[in-house]
Amino acid sequence: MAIHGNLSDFSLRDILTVVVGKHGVLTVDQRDGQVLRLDIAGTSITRMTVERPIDSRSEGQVLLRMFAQGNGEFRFEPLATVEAKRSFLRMDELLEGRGAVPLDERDLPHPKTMFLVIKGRQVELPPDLAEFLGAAVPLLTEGASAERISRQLGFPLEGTRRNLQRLRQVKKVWPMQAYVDRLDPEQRKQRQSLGQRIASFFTR
Amino acid sequence: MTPLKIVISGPVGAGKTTFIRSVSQTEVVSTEEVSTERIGKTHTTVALDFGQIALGDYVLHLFGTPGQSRFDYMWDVLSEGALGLIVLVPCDAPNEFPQARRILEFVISRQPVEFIIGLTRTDLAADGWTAAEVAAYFGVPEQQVLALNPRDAAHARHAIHQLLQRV
Repeated sequence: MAIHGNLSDFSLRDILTVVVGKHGVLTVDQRDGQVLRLDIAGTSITRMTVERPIDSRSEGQVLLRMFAQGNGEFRFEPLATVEAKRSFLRMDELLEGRGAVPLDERDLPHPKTMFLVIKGRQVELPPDLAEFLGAAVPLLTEGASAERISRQLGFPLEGTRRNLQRLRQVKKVWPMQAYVDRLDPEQRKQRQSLGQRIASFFTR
Repeated sequence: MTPLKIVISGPVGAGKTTFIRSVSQTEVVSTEEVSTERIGKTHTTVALDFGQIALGDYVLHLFGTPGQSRFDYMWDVLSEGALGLIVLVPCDAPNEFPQARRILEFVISRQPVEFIIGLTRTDLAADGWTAAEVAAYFGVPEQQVLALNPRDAAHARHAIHQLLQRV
């Protein structure tokens, strides 16, 4: 079993989220024949090559550009360990950094997916996004979809989806879970009891 | 008999119809039509699949949703009032993962429903994603991802049992 796929379906964020903490080699075969190879050791990218070694940290931006092209088969081959002389790039910096990971159309949420604002998390936002959040926070406090925010505040739907995704990238909003905890206690008790009773039939 | 609803969802070709057919005690009501798009199979569910399991005084109604986004209104309609949701994901079709995540987030953000992710085709694909990797992608605990063969009634029943234990 191996992690594999195509960049047309996965963003860099998704791939890093899955491989973070593992040891191995992530390879991306680009359409133009170039092969990008990332040696991963835990939370670090320890070496990156695109046909030739890249030694300058500033050239790490090549990584973002290549993933942003959105095409190319990728695969991750796990290894027992990867020699980690030094950390070339920290994956958490790529994942958490403001604006470090380009917004990816493939990540945009369904227009009706509800989001909640994470009030306790303080993040520095670009002015346009801070303005969007300021207007949408009353709705996002109770849970709102891009469709509802767009309709109630008069924002274009696509722009609203993009802004929700940008806020999600910095973990300022998150898809809400209309979880069973939100049922009233009596409903919840009934549901739990029902679930257990029915589950017991499967073990008879 | 008290009817209860379990929803089986997931992207096209994940095995939703097969899952319901393998476990239902009644003939499955299916709304399959010839595919008008290249989706890797000749027929696809356009409205719902429906099967039943009788358990004492209860009857579990199993509803399968269509996989394509243009039928998203059915995801909402079918999951309303459901006791649980099983999202089937084919381990060897990572191109379908984003759609599976969209379906999952769409439903659980709107309906108070417990869910598990059923990882299918693990018996057919030597190089598929593992349960742990899929759990990381969806951002859920590994215990919430269950490898299963939808053709096997025992696997399908086990998945329903696991789901009900989470309720």
